[in-house]
Amino acid sequence: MIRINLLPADLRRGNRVSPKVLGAAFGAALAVSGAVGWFGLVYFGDLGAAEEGLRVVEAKLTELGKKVTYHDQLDANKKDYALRVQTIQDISKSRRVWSRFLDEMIDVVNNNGDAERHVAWFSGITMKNDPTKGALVTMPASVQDSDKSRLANFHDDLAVAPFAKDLLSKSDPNYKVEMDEGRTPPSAMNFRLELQFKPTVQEPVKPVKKPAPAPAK
Amino acid sequence: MANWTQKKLLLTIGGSALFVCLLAAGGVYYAQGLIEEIEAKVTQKKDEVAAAEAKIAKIPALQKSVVVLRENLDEYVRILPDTRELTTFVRSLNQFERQSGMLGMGLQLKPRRDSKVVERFAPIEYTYEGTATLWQALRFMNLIENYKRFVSITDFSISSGGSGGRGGEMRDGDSVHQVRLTLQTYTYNRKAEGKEAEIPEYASLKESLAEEIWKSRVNIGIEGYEHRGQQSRRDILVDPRDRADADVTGPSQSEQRALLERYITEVTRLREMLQRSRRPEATMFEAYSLDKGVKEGLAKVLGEIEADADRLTSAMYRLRWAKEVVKPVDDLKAELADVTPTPKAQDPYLPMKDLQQLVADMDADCKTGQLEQAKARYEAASGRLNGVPADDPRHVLAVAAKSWHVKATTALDFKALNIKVQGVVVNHAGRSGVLLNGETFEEGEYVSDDLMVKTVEEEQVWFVFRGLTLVRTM
Repeated sequence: MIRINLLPADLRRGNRVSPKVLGAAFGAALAVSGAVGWFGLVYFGDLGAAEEGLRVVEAKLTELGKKVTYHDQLDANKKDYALRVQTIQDISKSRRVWSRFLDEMIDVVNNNGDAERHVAWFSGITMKNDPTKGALVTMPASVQDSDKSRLANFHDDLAVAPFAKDLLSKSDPNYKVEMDEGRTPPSAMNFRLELQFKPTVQEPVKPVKKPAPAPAK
Repeated sequence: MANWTQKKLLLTIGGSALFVCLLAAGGVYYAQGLIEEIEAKVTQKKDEVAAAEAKIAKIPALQKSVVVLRENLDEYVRILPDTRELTTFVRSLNQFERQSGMLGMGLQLKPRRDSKVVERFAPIEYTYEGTATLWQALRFMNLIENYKRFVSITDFSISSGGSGGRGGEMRDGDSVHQVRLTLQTYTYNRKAEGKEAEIPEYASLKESLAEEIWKSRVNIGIEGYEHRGQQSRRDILVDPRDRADADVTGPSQSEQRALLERYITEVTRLREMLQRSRRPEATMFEAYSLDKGVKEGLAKVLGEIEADADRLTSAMYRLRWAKEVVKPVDDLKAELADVTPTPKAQDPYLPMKDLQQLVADMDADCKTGQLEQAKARYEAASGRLNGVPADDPRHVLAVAAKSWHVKATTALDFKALNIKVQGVVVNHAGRSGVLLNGETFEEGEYVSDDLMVKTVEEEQVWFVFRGLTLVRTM
């Protein structure tokens, strides 16, 4: 038997949207709206808030910029002034008072008038200064007589002179006896006296690199 | 679509939904990345803000340091001459020559190193040449080294001019030597300064930091030295031995030495006699006879010393002569003058000199706030201060010392008073008031019998206490 369904096609039982499809469509719509909503929240909410936060911080930084520049200028001035003060201090400390040295050397040579201990004299005094190596004082010297103990006495007195603390080195005793018949006594021990002073300018100490730790055995 | 099977429909719906969800998830992932990036920037900027705020917090301290350093730097650079002062220095050299007797032969400016960079501290070197005796050269060098601006002698040479006999030049009885000095100084170039920060209200800040500026001032004075002069010392650049070709008219060296020894022995003997006469156990007759012997001996020495001094020509003995004969003889003369002092009446009061010193010290103590010390000074000497007669010239000073003592005591008593200034109301148009220990007082009112509020100011209150005006700060 032939059945003829006269109902419109969409109302026919076989062609109606099934509840499964409806449910799936509903679920899909829910998921899609949820996902889009989440995106919207993140994009327009969190991202916007972060951008706003950044704008606020940047504005604050710009606001502080002038003061920071002022601070940096002050800091640069401070360092610069400190350096200049240090330079002036170094300059003032770099000087040795040579009139004091000569006075002290005259005292050593005169030895309170004690002509028994030694009678010394120089034919010249030359001082050449090197700020880093120190000053070198060279004096062609003579000690009266050929008694070596007098030469030793003179060197002993030089070693305890007030300027001796500033010496890096002093030439060792040596001599050559020379006779001058035009003098009384005619003999004298001639030698070259060299006094090497400590440098007045201290070289800045370079930091020593620590050796690399030995590999563990 | 109408013909789609249910399965196909479900797949399409599910696939579309999944696609949209994945797209949204991708969008979220991308947005999160942006957020993280921004947050990282924010963190970085916040760190920068924190660093900036930390810097800003340091500004007041930094300002103080800069003001202190800047003010002190101006003081320090005064030791260095500027270009204009170099001319003054050259003029000063001329003055030093006159003072010392040095005969200048030339002053050459050493060529400066070519430097493209403008140096802040530019060294300048002069080479100076001249002739002088050792003492003149030493005096000249000393004057240079004691110059108010920094000048350093970097090199020098003194060549002996010999002992003068063989054509060598003599000046003031001493041999003349060749002197060569290299003088170095630095000029301070202010143009090489960097940009200076403009500190607001600099003048008032400087004024408020005056004490700190002074305290932190490092002593960059130039080390000086006072040359002692010849002091009978011999020239170390002259061979002191006797010369055979010299016109020897006086005694030989051995005779001079014997002469020196004779004087030293005599002076030692006289000194011992004087010491014996000064012993407490010496009888009056013994002391008289010893003093007489010393006087006679000294008179004899004094009669001969001048003539014999001229005979002592050897440089080697002149120092000993000055130290071991001339000075002890002068000392003996001075001591003998004190042997028979005219007996003076016992003076019960402090001597004038001590009294002047006491007043000066008390003045200084009170002005520097050392009130206890001022009080103690007076009380230690009070036994010899009271009752100085009005016609005594020390009377005025004794009164002054007493006055300082009263002031110091009053100030100390005032300091010990339990006064708590709890608040002030300053009325510039009328009388101001002060809240003291919970009670209010107006200017002119008495707090107690001997304490009156004189003036009330914003920061301090002036009181009159036992006739003395004293201040209490808030």
